[in-house]
Amino acid sequence: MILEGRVARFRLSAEGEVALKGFFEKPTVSAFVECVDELGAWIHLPSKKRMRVGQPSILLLLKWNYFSTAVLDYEPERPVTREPIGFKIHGIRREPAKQKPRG
Amino acid sequence: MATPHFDVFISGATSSVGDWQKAMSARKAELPKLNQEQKEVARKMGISEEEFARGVLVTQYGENRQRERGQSLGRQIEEILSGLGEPYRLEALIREGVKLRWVARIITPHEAKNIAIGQELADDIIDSCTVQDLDLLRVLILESLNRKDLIGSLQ
Repeated sequence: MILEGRVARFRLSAEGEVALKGFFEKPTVSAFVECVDELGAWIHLPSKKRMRVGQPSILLLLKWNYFSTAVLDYEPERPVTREPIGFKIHGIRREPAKQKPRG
Repeated sequence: MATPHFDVFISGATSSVGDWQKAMSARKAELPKLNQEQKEVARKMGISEEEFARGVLVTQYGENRQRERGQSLGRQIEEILSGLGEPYRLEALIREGVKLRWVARIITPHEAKNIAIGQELADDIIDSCTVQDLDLLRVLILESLNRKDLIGSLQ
């Protein structure tokens, strides 16, 4: 799933704003997605306090219907350069097609 | 530690919660500059540029961590290749995150070969590097290079 292991910026849906009232100040939330399942996305609850690496974190379930859209940084897979498989054309040389004059 | 002689390319990188925690407590001066597109998205989403930049930093930390892991895996592959007695050379390691594997591009005396190493084995090599893990990697590489004759003789 594309969301897992990435920071996503979610825009809460109207239903999500009501259900998660008190958790977030704004209807948009940046959060790290730990994993996703059939219920929704499990996100690490952002904290205003300074975080220490390795400190326990609280996961919050953001149900699928609790957000209307999400934005994330995504770099597509780089195409792997493939070597030619070895077919060669011998003795065939195509001349470029001549264009007929118009009119 | 010696500089590796191979390139590491990261594709489809993911981050860890450690990367996220590190980025959340990073100083403002460490935050990456956003490009116009990112600034525009931040504005449309109603997110501050600082908050958006911290998310970008998480991705960068994740990529760097994967690159370091690739260098560690590559050094083990170079070690195996050094015992072959012919000019076999690891040219590049590519992490294909979506396919959950690393691809090692090895230059042999005759051609270039791409060898896929599953992420599970790669993680075991990088994190634990037990004798058993190294044996599995050695067998995978020697078989892929058509050098089964050397299995058992190289240690």
